[in-house]
Amino acid sequence: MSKRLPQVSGEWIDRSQPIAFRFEGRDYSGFVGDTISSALMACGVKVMGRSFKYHRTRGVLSMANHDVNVMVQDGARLNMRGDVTPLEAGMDLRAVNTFGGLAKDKARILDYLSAFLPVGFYYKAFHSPKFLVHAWEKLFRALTGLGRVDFNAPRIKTPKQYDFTDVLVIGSGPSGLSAAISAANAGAKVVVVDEQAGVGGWLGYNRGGQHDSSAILQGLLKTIAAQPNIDVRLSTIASGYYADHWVPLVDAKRMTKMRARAVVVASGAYDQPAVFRNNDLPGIMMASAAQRLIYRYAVQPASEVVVLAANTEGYRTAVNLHNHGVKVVALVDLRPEGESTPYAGAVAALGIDILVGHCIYEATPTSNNDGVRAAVICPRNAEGVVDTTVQSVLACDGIFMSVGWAPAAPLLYQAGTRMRYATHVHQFVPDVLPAGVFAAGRVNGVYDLTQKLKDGERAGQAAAAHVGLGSGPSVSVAPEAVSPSHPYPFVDHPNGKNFVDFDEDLQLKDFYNAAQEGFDNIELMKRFTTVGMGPSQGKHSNMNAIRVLAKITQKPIQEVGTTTARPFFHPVPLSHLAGRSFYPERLTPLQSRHESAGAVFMQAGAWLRPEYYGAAGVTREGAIAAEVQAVRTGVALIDVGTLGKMEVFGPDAGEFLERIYVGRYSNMKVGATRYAVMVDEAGVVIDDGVVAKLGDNHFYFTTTTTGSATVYREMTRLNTQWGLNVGIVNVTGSFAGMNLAGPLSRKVLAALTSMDVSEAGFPYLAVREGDVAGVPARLMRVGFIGELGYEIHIPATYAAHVWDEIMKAGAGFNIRPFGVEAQRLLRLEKGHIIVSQDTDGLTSPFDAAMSWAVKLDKPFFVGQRSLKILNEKARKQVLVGFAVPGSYRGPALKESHLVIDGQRIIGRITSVAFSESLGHFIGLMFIEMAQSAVGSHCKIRVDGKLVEATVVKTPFYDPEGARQKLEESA
Amino acid sequence: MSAVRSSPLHSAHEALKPMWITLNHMPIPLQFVPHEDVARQKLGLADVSFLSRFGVKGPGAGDWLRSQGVTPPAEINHWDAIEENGLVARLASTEFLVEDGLEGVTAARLAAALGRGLPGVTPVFRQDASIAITGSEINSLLVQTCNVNFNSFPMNERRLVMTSMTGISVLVIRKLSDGVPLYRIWCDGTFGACLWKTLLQVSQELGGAAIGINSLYPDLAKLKALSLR
Repeated sequence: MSKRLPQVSGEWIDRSQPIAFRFEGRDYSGFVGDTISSALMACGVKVMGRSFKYHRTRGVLSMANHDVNVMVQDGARLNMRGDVTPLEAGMDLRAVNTFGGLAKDKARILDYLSAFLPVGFYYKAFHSPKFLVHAWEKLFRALTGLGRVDFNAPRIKTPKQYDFTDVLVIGSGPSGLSAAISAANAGAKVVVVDEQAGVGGWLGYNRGGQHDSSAILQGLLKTIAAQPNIDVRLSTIASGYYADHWVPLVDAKRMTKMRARAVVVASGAYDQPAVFRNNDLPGIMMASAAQRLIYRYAVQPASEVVVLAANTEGYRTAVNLHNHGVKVVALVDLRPEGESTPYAGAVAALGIDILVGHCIYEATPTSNNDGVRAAVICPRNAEGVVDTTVQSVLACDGIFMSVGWAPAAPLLYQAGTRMRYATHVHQFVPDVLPAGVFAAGRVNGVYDLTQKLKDGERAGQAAAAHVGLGSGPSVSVAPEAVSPSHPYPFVDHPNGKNFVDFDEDLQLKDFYNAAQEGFDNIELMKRFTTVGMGPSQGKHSNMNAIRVLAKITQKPIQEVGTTTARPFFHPVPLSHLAGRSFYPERLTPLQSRHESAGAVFMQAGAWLRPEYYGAAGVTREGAIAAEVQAVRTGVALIDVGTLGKMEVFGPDAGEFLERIYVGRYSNMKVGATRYAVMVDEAGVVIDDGVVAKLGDNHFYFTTTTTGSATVYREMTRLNTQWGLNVGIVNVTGSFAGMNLAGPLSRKVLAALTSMDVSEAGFPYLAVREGDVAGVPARLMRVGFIGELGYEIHIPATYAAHVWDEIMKAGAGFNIRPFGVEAQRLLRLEKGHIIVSQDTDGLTSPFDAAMSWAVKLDKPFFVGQRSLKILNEKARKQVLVGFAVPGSYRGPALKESHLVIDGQRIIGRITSVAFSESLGHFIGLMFIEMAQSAVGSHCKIRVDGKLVEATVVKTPFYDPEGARQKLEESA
Repeated sequence: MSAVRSSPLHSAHEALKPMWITLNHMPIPLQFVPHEDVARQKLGLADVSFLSRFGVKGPGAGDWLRSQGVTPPAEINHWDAIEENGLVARLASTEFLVEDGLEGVTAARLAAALGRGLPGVTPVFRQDASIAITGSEINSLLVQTCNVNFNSFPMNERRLVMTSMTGISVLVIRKLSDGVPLYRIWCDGTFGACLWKTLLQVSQELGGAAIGINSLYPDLAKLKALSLR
C-alpha cells in the first residue's frame, strides 16, 4: 500500500521522474530525489534489513546516516546506506547480512539464542577451550561481515583535489547558513558543506514551531544567492579534521582536501533513541526521521503512532504528524514535569492524549516480527523508577522518539577542542576551542531557533575576524531555558532486548555485565562491548553508553568522559582514499630504446630498469646467460643512467671529498678515478661509487642508484656545518650514463670518437672528456663487471642519439644491450659488492672486507672515530666469497640462505648465482671469523638440506684483472 | 655527425603522432591536431623542453650574473624577464635559473663564460623537462595535481613556486599570454614523462589536450627559420 503523501511544500522528490528498481527480488518504484529507504517506505516496505548479531528485523531509524539499519548492496556496490543513498533507476538491491534473503533469513534463529551470545562472547570463545578456537573462527567468519565483495569489480579512479577557502562552514542548518552569511558579509570567501542532498538542515523538516521555519529558510537562501562569496556544496561530508584546518570533503565523485583559514562547525546534533524493550522494531524511529520522511520525501511514516517525548521537539512532531494524517494515539512524556511551552496546549487541542511522567515499558511486535503492534505504557517517576503494575497498552504501528540529542562533535574533538558536559542541556559542549575553530548551533548547545541564528552569526563574525576580516562578534546568545535532552532515557526490562547500540545489537544489560567483569571505564567498556565500533561509529549510541556507565559507576558524566574521536568519523570509500595513482616513476632517457629491444623491466627505487632483454622462445635465464656471454666474449651496452651523479666544484673540493668518503682523494691527479665508500657516523657503509677528477677544482662522482638524493642531502647538510668553499650539484637527471663493455668495446668506441682510447692513451681507472658520436662526453674506465669497458656519461638529451650510434657502430660486432641481472652476475664473478644487498644496517667496511679502502690516517672523515674503535675490536663476521662444487645438482642457492654449523647459524648468503663462466655456483656470504679463512668448508641449508661450500678468494673470475686492461681487443 | 637531442617527453609524444619541428637540435611537436588554439584557450599542454637553460649557484652567483648583464630578482622565489622573452628566476638566496626565449642566446653565452666555475660561482648543468600549460581551465587541473593555492597571489607578482605536482618536485611560474593564463613548469628530466602523462590524462578528462608549440608561437615562418639555425 502506497504511503506517499500528497505534494508537500519543499519536498525533495521530483514526481515527474519515476524510477523503477528492485529490492530483495521484487519490483518497486520511486522518484528522482528519493533515497532507497524513502522509496521503500513509500511503497509500504517497513523491514529493510537484519541486525548484525541477532539478525533481528530492522527498518528506518534515523533517516540521516546515523545508523545502518538499512544497508544494501547493488551488484559490486556494497554496504550502501539506504537512508541517504539516492535512488537510481535499475538498482537491484539486496539487504546485506542475510542468509537466504531478508524475509527468510536463516540466521534469524540467532535472536532466539541470544541468551547464549552475551557481550564479550567473541573474546571468550577465542580464549577457551582452545580446541574449539578454530571451529569458532570458521563459524564467525561465515556469520560475520557485511556485504559481499565482488573481486571482479572494476577499479574506480576517483580523482582527489585540493581546494582553499577563508572560512569553511560545516553544516547548512540555520546556524551554519547564518554563520556563512555573516562571514561573507565581512568579506570572507566561504564554503558551506552539508552531507544532506538539500540545504537547510532542521529548518526544512521541523515545521511545528512558532517560527515559520520555511520562510526563514527561504530568506537565508535568498541572502546566500545574492552573496557571491558563498559556495554551498551539498551531499558533501566533512569526514575528518587535520592540523591547520585541513578538512577532507567527501562527495560521490571525489575527496576534496580543503584547506581553510578558519572553520565553523555547525554540524548539529544526532537524535538519540530511547532505550526500552524491542525499541528496534521496524516502525520505531526517531521523531526527526519521521519528519524527514514527511517533508523531504512526502512519505507517511506510519498510520497510528505513539510519540515518546522528553523535549519540545516531541510535541512539535506530534503536531506535524497530525497535520499529515497520522493518528497520534498518545504523547508519552518521560518528564514528570511535562512540557512548559505552549506546545503542550497545542497538542492537547488536537485531541492527543498526553501522558506526563510515563514511559514506554516495551513495544509489542507483530506476530512475524515485521513491525510494532502496540506500545506498553507505564508511569515513571523522577528517579526513573517504572511502576510496572500500572500498564496501558496502546495499539499503534509506529513509535517515534524524541528524548534527546548528542552533539555531532567528532570534528571538534579531532581539532583538539576541550569539551565539557553542560547540565543545562545535558550534552557535551565546547569548552575551549582551538584557534580558528568555531562552533555554532546544536553542537554548541544552542537549540532555540532564534538563538541558533544568532549563534551562527556570532561564529561567522568570529571566523571572519580570525582571518583578518571584520571586527569580530557583535551578538550575544542566550542559554537554553529547558534541556532538550533527557539525562537518562532508559527503561530496564527483565527480558532485555532494549538496545543501546543498534549496529552491534548491544542491550542495556550488556553494559552492566561488562562493568561487572571490570570493564568500567569508557575506553575499556567500548572495546569489550564494541559499543560505537560499528559502521555508525557511535552516532546513535555513544552518548547513551556514557549515560549508562555514569549510572553504573555513580560518577558524573563529565568524569566518565568520552572515547577518542579519530578521522574518519564517517566511513569513506576506499576508492576515494586511493584516488588517482600518483606514483612518480623515474625513467632514463633511454626508456624507449629499452622498450624497442624487448626489455623486461624491474623497479629500482623510483626507477624503472631493464632486468633483461627478452626474446621469443628464450627463457629469462637463457636471455641473461646470453647477455653475460656477450660481455665476456664480445661487446654489449648497459644503461647505467640511474646511478647518482654529483659534481663538486671549488678550491676545497678535494678536502670535501676527503671528509665525505673513507678513502683519499686530495692526492688524485686530473684524469684519474678512484673507488669511493661512504659510511655514516657509526661507521656503517651507506653508499659507494667512483670519484673522477676532471679539473683541479672539479670532481665528478657517482653514487648508488637509490642513494643519490640522500647522499646529496647529507653532503649539503654537512657542508653547511663545515663551510668549505665548494659548490655541490646533483646532476643525476642531467647526465645519461651507459657502459660499453666487453673485449670488443674499444673497437666500437674508436669508431665514434676522436679520443685516443688505446690502453696507453686511456688506461684502466682513467677518466677522459671528449666527444662520442658528436656529443660532449665524460668517459671512465671502470671495472665493475670485470671486462674492458668504458662508462660514457653524456647530457641526458643526447642519450638516445649516442645509444643509437653505438648500437650502429657495434652492429658488425654483434653488440647487444644487457640488463641489471646480467650485470649482477658479472660483478659477482669479480667479487664486487652491491651496497645494501651485500651490506646491511650494521656493516662496516671491515666487515665487508674493504679495509683496503679505509684511510684511517686521514685527519678527518665522517665515521672515522667509529671506525677507529671498530678497528680495535675483534670482528664477529666478515664478507667472504664461496664456491659450491660443480658436481652439485640440487636446488638453486638463493640470497639469505643460512650457513649452518651443527645447531648454530654462523652466516648467511648475500649474493649467489650460477656462473656459466666458472661452471658452478659462486657467491658472497657473511660468516663468522673462525670459519672465514680461504679453504674453510661450511654447510649451507638449501630447502632443508645441507650443501657443502668452500670459502674462496675473490675475484672468482680473472683474479689478476687482466681482462680489464686488454692491450688489444680480441 | 649531427647530434640530435631528444626532449625528455619525446616518447610520450610519439604515440600522438604530432607534426615535428627541430629547435635547438631537439625535435619538438609543432602541432598535434589542427586548430589547437581552442585547446590553448581552454586547457593545453605543450612541451617547451627545447628552450635553452643555464643554472648557477654559490655565494658569488648573483654578482656574477649581474657582471654578465643579467639582473636577477631581488627576492627569493621570484622571477624576472630578460632579453628576447627569456627569464631569470631566483631559486634560493644563491641559486638561479636562466632560460632563453625562443630566439635568445643568453644561456649558452653564460655557460661558455662560466666554464667549470669560479670560486663561489658554480655552474649547474640543467636538462629539465619543461611544460607550458595554458587556458582558462588550468585551475581545475592544478587542484587535482598540486596543493598550492596559486590564486593566493596576484598574477603579475612574478612569483616562483617550488612544490610537488603529482608527487614530483617542480618549479612553477605563471603569467598571462595573449590574455590567457600560462603556467610554466620545470622538473627533473627523468621524471618528465611521468609528469606529462599524468597531467595530460587529467587534462583530457577536463576537455584539454596536448598542443604543439605553434600554438604558443604562432609565427610559423619564424619557427621554421629558427629550425635551420
